[in-house]
Amino acid sequence: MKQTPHSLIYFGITAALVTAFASALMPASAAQTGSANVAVVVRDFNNPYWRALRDGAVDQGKKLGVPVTVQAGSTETDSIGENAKISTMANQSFTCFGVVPINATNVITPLIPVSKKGTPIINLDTGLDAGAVKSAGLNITSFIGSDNSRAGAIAGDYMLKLLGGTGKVVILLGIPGEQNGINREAAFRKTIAGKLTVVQTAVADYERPKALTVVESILKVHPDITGIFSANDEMGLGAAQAIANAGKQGKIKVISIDGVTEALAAVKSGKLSATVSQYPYAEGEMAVSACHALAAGKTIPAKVESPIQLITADNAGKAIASFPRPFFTFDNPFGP
Amino acid sequence: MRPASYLTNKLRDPGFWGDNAAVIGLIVICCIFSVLTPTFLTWANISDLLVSASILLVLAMAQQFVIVTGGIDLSIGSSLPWAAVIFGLTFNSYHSIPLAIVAAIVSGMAVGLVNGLIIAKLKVNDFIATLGMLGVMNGLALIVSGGQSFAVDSPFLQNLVLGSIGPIRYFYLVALLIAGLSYLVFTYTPFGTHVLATGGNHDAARNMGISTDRMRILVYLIGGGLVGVAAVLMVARTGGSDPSMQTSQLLTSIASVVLGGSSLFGGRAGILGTVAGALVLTTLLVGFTLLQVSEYYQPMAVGIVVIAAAVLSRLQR
Repeated sequence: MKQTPHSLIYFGITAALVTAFASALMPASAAQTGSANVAVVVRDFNNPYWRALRDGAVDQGKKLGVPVTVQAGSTETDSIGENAKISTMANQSFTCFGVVPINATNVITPLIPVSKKGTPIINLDTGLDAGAVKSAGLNITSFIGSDNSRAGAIAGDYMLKLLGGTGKVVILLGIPGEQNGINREAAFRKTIAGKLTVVQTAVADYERPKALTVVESILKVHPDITGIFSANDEMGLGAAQAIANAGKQGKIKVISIDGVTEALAAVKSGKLSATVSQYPYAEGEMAVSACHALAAGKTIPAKVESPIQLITADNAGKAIASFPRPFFTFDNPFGP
Repeated sequence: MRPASYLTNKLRDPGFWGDNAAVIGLIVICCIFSVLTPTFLTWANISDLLVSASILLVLAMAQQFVIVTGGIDLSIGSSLPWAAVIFGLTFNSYHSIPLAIVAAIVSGMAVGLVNGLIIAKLKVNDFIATLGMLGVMNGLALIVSGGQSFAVDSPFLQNLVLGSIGPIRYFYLVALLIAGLSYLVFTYTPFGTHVLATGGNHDAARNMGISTDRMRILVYLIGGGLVGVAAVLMVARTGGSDPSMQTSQLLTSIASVVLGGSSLFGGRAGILGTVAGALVLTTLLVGFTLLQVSEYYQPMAVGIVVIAAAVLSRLQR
């Protein structure tokens, strides 16, 4: 009995903390102004790529005066968490959904109730399986994303140019089964086929420390390689570090894909030979613009390609200056 | 004793707060969210919340069986996608849901059996044995799937997620049924008592003639089978099989059990607590999503709630 106040204090602390978090962190205004109310769901916020997509969506929302809510799962492969977010948001008053799936199917089932309400859904960045979408009766209004196959081909072309059309190369892959990575790899292989020899393909889960370890080992087995193609910048930066550690900087060219800030800086300093920059920020902007247009009763294209640009030491400075926006003009169906 | 004074006495007893930390936490959190957002207390939201919690709930039950013996199953992070891949491959080749469900459960149990044998017969620590299997099964899932995720398309699976009997959705009915069965096993069967004894006092249990090795193998076997069930739910919910490791599910399943008041040292099963624990974690996720709480604060808030509940459960009798 003596402990009563004690236990109540614990209880009070718990309740107070929860209330404090819940209320203090609510956004200042969730006012339902304008006709569109946009929900964007991405994979996670640990990856700078998805953070850039979020920032683009939020900034465009402010520009157009449209409320935008962005949510995400807890990791790059957290399909269950992402689905929980979608199911929850399906019960709120959003007029439009922009969704980045984790794989070709994971968001289809939780989106069925959204689609049944007639709410437009825009598939962002990673394409959904067309057959599964059709048999689920899901209505996808538009796809906005960059062509990962084209990014892989651009990387392949530049690798051929840097190596003079011959030599041994290594490919670093991300999470096995991740669709964007598969498209990047396949296009790279196709472009260099018959000219460059791929001596090893290694999986490094899109992670920098893993790529560093893997490439250090590869350099011992294949000291004669002259190029590394990495399916994302994080692994590319790890590979570049391993090469620098081995004292071979400049002798082995590294080309990666994504265009995150650190990679742009590494290209400028010469540590990384090139990155094929995709613009998730522009994807986020276009997603909100598309929702805005739909709310105004306009029709939007079924497929919108977001920009891609090869960044080398020549244009890295410009790319850094205008980051996260593209430094060049591109075909934007929604206007600038 | 008058009911009112009975209640006051209960509320004054710190043991009551400790024993029911997760349930009390769940009620408090639900009340707070109901006040803060009108959407929270709608049936549509509650029903989607339960659907979202179902996979975690089944995984937490799997974890519960193992944790009662003082063990821990880290391998579920990859035996879940492994069973999901087996389910998908079986269904895509034979187009039979019952066969695919059996294949998923058997493939989950196979992992459990290996875990149990390594731990009980080779005397390897649970943490290390299942950590090893986490890697092994991740690799196997990637090998059999060719590293690819693939669509598993079936009206049955879609109906499992979206269909309902009246207002009750099938999806969480499966999870609640499993929780109910687990409760019966621990409360009314000799097997449940033996498992509890194995975790409570290993030597005493052995002296009483309980084969503790057998109990430890059996809990991993049951846990593995439940992971198979969770895999079926996951394929239904995500429309496909994906071999990627599910580390977030692994950690939240352990957190649910601990939140529920079960000791990581074994000997204590709290099915209601574990169910409440899983619901608390899902409710926080759903509530913060509804309130549009900045994503940077969400994991922090969840972490604080887990610690707060653990502190509260220190008052356990």
